[in-house]
Amino acid sequence: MSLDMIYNDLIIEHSRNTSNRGPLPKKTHVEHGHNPNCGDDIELELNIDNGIIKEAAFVGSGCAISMASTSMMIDLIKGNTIEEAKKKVDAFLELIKNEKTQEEVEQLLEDATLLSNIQHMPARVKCAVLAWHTLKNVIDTLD
Amino acid sequence: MHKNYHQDFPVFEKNPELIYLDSAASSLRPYTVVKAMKNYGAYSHANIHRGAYALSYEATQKYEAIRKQVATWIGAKMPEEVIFTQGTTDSINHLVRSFESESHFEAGKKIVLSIFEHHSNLVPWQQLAKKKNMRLEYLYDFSEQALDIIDDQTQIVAITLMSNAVGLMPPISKIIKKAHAVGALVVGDAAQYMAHYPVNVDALDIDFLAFSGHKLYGPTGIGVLYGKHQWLTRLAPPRFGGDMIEYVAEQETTFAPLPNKFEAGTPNIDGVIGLGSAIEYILSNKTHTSEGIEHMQQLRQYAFTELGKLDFIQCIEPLKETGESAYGPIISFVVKDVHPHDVASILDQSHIAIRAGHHCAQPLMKRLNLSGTCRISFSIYNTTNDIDALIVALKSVRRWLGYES
Repeated sequence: MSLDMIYNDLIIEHSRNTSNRGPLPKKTHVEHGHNPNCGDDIELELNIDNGIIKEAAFVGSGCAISMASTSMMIDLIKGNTIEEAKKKVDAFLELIKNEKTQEEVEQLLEDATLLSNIQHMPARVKCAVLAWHTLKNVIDTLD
Repeated sequence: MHKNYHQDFPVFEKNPELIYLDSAASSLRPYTVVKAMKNYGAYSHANIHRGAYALSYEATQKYEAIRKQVATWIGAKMPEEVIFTQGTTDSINHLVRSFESESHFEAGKKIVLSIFEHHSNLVPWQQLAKKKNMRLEYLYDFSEQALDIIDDQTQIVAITLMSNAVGLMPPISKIIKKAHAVGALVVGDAAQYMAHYPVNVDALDIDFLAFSGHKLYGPTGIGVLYGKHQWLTRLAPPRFGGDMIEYVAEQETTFAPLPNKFEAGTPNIDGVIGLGSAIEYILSNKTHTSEGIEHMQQLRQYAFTELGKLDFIQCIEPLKETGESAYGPIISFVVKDVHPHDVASILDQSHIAIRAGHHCAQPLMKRLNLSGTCRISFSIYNTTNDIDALIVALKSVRRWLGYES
């Protein structure tokens, strides 16, 4: 594998993107996500109003991959209904597990499909999925 | 002229490009150890003790001979003071389990640890303190003033001989003297130290010592708990089962004498064979000799100097400023703006193996205000060439993350 499949411009740009950093002034849900073995540690903040994710942001720190993945996810879910967000989370997790191809999920996940290359770096998969699992935890409580 | 130690380690045959800088996690394994374990498994295996046939008898002889070999190697007064365990973590857990039922350790009294402990020499003591309502206190440095927390209320001092996270070597003799002066026991975590330095438990006068086989060229799943005879005799067995008994009746059991009292069940005989072979490897090479230790120190110094030339790297050397600066062949560092796991993944592309993270020392990381570090560690097969390759690779790390180099 070539390193630039992971550490490419888009992912690096997202990893340094500060526009999705919290804290949010108004939030209805805060969920902690944590990879105890590597220290990625985020708090996902959501402002959910009438079944719509009005605002989303995160605080915390981690590696470039976890930060990029978190930021990409937040870009994707802002303004979504819970149902739409759930579809994206499921698609992303299926993509990472190689159960779906990049083409199949491209419309839903846009740039975040690039993170599927993390399959070639198995030790780092948990970094890429952290934010998504964290969001899934919130969505599961809403059912 | 430094012998080319690569020839002793089969992993380099398959991965000639490998630059292994993670021996503090686990050292590579020499041919001799692999062969000894294979031969035992293929031709000489039988369960030990109580087998009235040659194969079992010979396996028992080998197993007990290695206990003697370990005892001699670490300067124990008698082989019975050497208990085989699964490793350092297991050794310390055994001990803590035995301490739990020991009335000598009282509520309100103190257990003293250092902030440099690996979780394996921290969590068990923390849990013991909770269970017995003992107080847990930490040494943050080793000045005379700091050591004053080891007072007449202290019953246990558990301390590493070499920090796995930053390489610092606490002044163990001074700590043992201080502890004994107030009647406290000292438990040493020698997982890292034993990989490079010879230990004489008798001369040190340490009460208990734990170490692992896989950090000193041996296999995983085998380790040692050394304990002074008087204490091991007194302590209750940590585990119950076969091999650790004398007589068993329906309602009562009497326990076997040392060392069997501490070795319930069929032990890791393969591991013991591997450990014996690893000690032989150590004794027939320059590791643990003054020349070997000097080589490790030179590597450390060289790496430290070369890393110091990179202005985006910060080496982590706590307590250096207080003059307590004995360090083993381990260096922790951080790369400016880059998370340690990204550094490790990027270096992996150059076949350089380093460790990244909190190194199972979260309280220390918190104290140092770090979420994690990159850690390199050396062993007999490392040379300055490895460090040169590391430096070259490090120069490109920041670029991958979109920073100017």
